Amino acid sequence: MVMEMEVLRVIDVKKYFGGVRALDGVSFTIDRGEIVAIVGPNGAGKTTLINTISGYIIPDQGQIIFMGHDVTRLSPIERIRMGIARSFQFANVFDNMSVYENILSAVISRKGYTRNLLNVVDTFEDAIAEAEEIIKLFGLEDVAHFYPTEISYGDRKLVDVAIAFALNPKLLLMDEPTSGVATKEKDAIMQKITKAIRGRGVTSIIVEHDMDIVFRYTDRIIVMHQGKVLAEGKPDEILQNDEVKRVFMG
Amino acid sequence: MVTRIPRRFGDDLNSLLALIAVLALAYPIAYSLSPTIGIAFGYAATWAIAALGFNLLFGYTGLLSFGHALFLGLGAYAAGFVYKYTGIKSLEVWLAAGVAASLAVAAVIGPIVVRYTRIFFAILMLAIAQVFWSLYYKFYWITGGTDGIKVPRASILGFSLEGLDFDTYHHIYYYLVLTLLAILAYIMWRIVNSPFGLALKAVRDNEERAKFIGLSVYKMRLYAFLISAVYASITGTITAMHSRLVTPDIAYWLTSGKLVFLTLLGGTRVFIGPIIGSYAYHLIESIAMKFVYWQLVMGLLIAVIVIALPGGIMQLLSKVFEWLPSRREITEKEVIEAKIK
Repeated sequence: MVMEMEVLRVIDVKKYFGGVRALDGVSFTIDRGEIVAIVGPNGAGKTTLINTISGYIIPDQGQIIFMGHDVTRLSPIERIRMGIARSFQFANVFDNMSVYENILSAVISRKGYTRNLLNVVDTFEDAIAEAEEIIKLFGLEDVAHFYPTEISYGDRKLVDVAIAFALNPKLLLMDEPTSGVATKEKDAIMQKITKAIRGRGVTSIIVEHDMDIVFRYTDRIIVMHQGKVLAEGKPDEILQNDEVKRVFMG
Repeated sequence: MVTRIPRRFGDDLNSLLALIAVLALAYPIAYSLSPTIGIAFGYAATWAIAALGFNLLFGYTGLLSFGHALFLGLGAYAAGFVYKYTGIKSLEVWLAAGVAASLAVAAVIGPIVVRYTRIFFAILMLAIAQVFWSLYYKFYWITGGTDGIKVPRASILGFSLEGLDFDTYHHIYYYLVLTLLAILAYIMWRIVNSPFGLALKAVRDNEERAKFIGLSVYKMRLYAFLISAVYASITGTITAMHSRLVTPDIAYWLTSGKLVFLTLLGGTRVFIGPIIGSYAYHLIESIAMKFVYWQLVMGLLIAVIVIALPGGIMQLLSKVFEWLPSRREITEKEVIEAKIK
């Protein structure tokens, strides 16, 4: 029963870049439906951790178990097919395709329609309906036919997350979904994201610097420091943690 | 419900159909003005096929090949060899042989070259094409060397083009190739507007993101490469029949350069751009050839077009289209609606 609830288990993962210990024996688990924040100062290893779970980089040591399967050595494509999707620290979108096409391309990729060479994409009504639904879910209707270069950075970040969401993931990894976005916009973005992921019960990991966002929108927090897990727990517990206070406030 | 944006001018099927109709209707006028221009139409239609294939790889997939002459050469030499060694004069057989040869070679080199991008892909293709050119050039006992292989006018569906007078041949040739162009352009239009086409654009735009939506960048590029090779070989085979001689020139790097050039001239980001580019190139060439220093005149003319219109001729045509009264009304209406929203 416990195993069924568990979506991700990271076991003693290590990743060194030369002499730098980006990840130095990281272990934790994430249960189904949880929204977990990974926080920590710059260089703590947050992005490396996301990169390791998504298959962007392969760890030197340790294991990543996703839904009971060892995915440590699998390629990003294999992990995506298993249900791990991600967004990036810097909005990583298709700049010469409209917002609508950005999301549609993720939907058709997931559905395996890219093998179809001769049927016009407009005829794939299920994919279109799904792309439209995601556009609505993320509140992108007004910019659906704009290129990502023509919209606000906040919307670009949303498009990046919406692309990952369109892959219908079981685990969604978001690397700083509000970084570079005006403070006023951050809440609106997080509301849209959490509404979408909670609505579908998508287990999520959010790397985030803004502690207000973290405390408001996540269920659990993992604090990282110098490549190790410093603390983990509910937002209230983290707030009371002396070790965390020492690292963050000096 | 999100309203899907209509395909812009030059990308929609109506633009393609209208263009084919214009090219069909313009030919008799062009030929009556000057047979040279009429003949240029024939070359333009022939090269437009290769340009469409080339642009699938360049404009839609982001791989610039400087060696597509390789596939034109394979198409041409396949026709030459079929005739030389079997005596078969059927264009259908020549085309099938050309397609098979180019597919076979593309299937061998494709898995290697599509792993590279940008200048590495371009140079690798150039090098491979030059290897084939040197084979045609040096293995003269098979290829005829610089003398080439003479081929006759082929038969099409049992109808021989041999023995026709000059004008009749050129008329039939033009409408035959234009028909083939229309069919192949329609197939290509469906390809670029299919889910596969959308995936190619994703790969072109952002390889990393494409991987992280689950696309196999390698496979997408390889399929585009194979299709592109087939289109180029068809132009090669038809050119062989039209010129009645297959020489290493068709596989030379200048042929690759011409293909790159006329595609850029028309515009790579609009579907009909390569067709427009091919016609513009051959028309400019046919007019410029009247001057002693025609290559200089042509070079200057084309340089001006490229500098003034980095998006190719389609950039200009798109602007003209947007300023047409009926189109302007729609645009203004759309702006007002957007503002109200």
